[in-house]
This record gives sequence, structure tokens and C-alpha cells, in this order.
Amino acid sequence: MTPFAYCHRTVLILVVTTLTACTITRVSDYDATTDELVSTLHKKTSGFFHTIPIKGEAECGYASHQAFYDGLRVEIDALALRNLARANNSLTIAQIQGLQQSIGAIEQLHQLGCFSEAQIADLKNSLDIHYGAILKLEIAKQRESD
Amino acid sequence: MSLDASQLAAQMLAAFKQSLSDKWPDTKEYASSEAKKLAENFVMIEKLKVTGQITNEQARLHHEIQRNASRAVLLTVEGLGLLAVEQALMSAFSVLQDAVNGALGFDLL
Repeated sequence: MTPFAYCHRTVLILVVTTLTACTITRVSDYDATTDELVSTLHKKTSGFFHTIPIKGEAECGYASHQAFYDGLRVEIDALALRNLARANNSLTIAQIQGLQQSIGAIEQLHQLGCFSEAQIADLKNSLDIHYGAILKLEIAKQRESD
Repeated sequence: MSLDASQLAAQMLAAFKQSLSDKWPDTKEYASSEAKKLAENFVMIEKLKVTGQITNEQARLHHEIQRNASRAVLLTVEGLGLLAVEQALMSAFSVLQDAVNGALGFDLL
């Protein structure tokens, strides 16, 4: 090999190494289980807001629905744990932590009193947006090459 | 002072846009629609508070839930931007693959 060819090859390897370093993934791979768990949680909370008795109706208080919050918390904790174990997943982790905080805030609101129709509409909209954001990002992780 | 949903939506959209720079056109539709919904929710909470239907403490909790939803949207917008950059790099990488392997005389990539 001539010195020129040797030099040429070295430069090419350097370029390739740099390019390879640039293609390191900064967003985790798609996870079908996360997709499924988030969809299931969304259905549960949506169903809850569609059926919960409003202020003034029987059994609208927190005590009648504590089991729902307990169950939901367990499922979101499991979702959070699974996502903490995924590499390059800081965005989804932050979204799920936000969801945990929001469910906690909804529970606190319920402890303060029964929900009015307007409150239910607001809470449902907010959670729809939140779940939708998590799902949109997760689905986008199914990269074009997949 | 009452809140204007359109003005609020425009301000939120500007914030989303700032985090996405040149990848903005790809996610504009999603960000616009979510900013509109979020702004309407903020206005609804304000209305409930002003009309005395919820207390300050309840309004604080409603706002906290709204903030978390807004942040989730922002994080998705950021993620979509990163995925777009990654895809662009992969495309460039793929274009060079054949040329580099050919020049080196072996399949490095």
C-alpha cells in the first residue's frame, strides 16, 4: 500500500468513527409493553371519570373510590419502574413521574370534596393530553428502520 | 384579570416552537392542537375559581395537573425533535456506507 493510500484509509476510518459516534441513540427504543400499559391506564382513568357520581349524588366521596386510586397507583408505579430500567429514556421517565404527581393531585382533590361536572371535564381533558403525549412519543420511537 | 384562551395558546405554542427549532414543521400540528386544549383548560380553571366553584387549594391542584400535562407535551415535542435528528443522521450514514466500505476494501459498516 502506498503512503497516500494508507493516509486515505486512515482518514476514512476517522470519518466513519466520527459518524458512528454521531449516530448514538439519544431516545430509547419502542417498548410495546409501555404502549399497552399506558393505553390500559388511560382506559381506566377515562372510565372512572365517565362513571363517577358528581357532587350531590350518592357515593361521590373519596371513601367510595379509594380502591380505584390504590389500584391505579400500583399500576403507575410498575410502569415507572419498567421505564426507569430502559436506556436513554429520560423523556418518558419524566412524563410518567408527572403522571404520578397528577394522579396524586387528583386524589387530593377528591379528598377535599366530590367533583363537579366542570372539574371532571377539566381533569379528564388534562389526563387525556398527558396520556396522549406519552403515547405519541412512544409510538414515534418505532423508527422508520423498524 | 381574565385569561384569553387564544392568546394563551399562542404563547404556549411559541414556547413549544422554541424547543424544536428547525424540526418545527413536522410537529407543528400536534403542538398547536395540544396548546389550544391546554389553554382552554387553564381558562376553565380560572373560571371555576373566579365563580367560587373551587377553592384556592383546589385551583392549585388543578393547575398542578395542568402543568404536568403541559410538560408532558413539551417533552414529546423535544423527543420528536431528537428522533428527527437521529433519523437524519442515520440517512446520511446510510448514504456513505457503500462508498466507505468500497474505498476501504472491506465491510467496516
